[in-house]
Amino acid sequence: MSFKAFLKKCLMEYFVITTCVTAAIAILGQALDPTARFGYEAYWSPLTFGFVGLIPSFITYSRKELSFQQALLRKAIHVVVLEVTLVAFGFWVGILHAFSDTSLFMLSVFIIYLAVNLISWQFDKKDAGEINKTLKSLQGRSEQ
Amino acid sequence: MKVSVKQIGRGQEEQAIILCYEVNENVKNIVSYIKAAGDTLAGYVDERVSQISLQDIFYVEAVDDRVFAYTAKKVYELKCKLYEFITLFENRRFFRCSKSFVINLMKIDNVRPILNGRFLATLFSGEEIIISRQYVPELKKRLLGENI
Repeated sequence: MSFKAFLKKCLMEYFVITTCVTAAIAILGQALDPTARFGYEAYWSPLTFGFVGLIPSFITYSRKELSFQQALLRKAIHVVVLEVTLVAFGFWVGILHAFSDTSLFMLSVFIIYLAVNLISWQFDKKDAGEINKTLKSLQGRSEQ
Repeated sequence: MKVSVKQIGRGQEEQAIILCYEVNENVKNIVSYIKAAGDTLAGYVDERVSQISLQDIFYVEAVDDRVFAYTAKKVYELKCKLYEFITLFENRRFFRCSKSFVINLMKIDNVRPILNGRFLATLFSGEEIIISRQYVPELKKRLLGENI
């Protein structure tokens, strides 16, 4: 994958991540601290976490084609680095204070990670469906 | 479109003439198919040469400095480089799907996504060939866009 294509993919993922972070904040906030009040600065939170969450994505970038095992290994390393980076960032900006917060936060990050990958998978599945449809039409037409 | 088939004697050259209002994608596809239908290629098995019909080739693979064409029953060595093969036959429904594989689009049963943006093509022979991430956009463009 070219670096340009990789950045394009990151940009698409960024929007998915920020949406998922917003949803996670809403769900966790309503469940854990429903009376909390905050100002406009709170809107920066999903954007910032989305950006910080994208930085470890460079682990998955490779100019060369990775084998299935290499890709799987990089994904595993990516999720670990992602968790560590976001937890460290969370403590640094002061939204995390205790272990109980951290474990819930890490679970949210993992769920968002799965959601982003699932959405990406769904796009690929849709493309595969269209390709299969066109292939069938092409092969059927040529058999006539 | 009205279709007419006329039998000719052995002494005459076979040909297809398309009478159309405009040369659109459908006409281009028909031309491409007719051209591919008659094409053959020299393939070697144990230094014995045979003519392989392009239509019978499922995929072509480069292994080290050698190139092999896989049909349903046999594997032939081709005396050309992979890039030469794809240059010659790209418009005959062949598609380069990775660094060392060229696949016949007419022999793909289905494709499905696998990890890391790659697709896996299952051929009618049951064999599976990986479509590299960098070639997926080109496949989509070729199949879903235009220029089949």
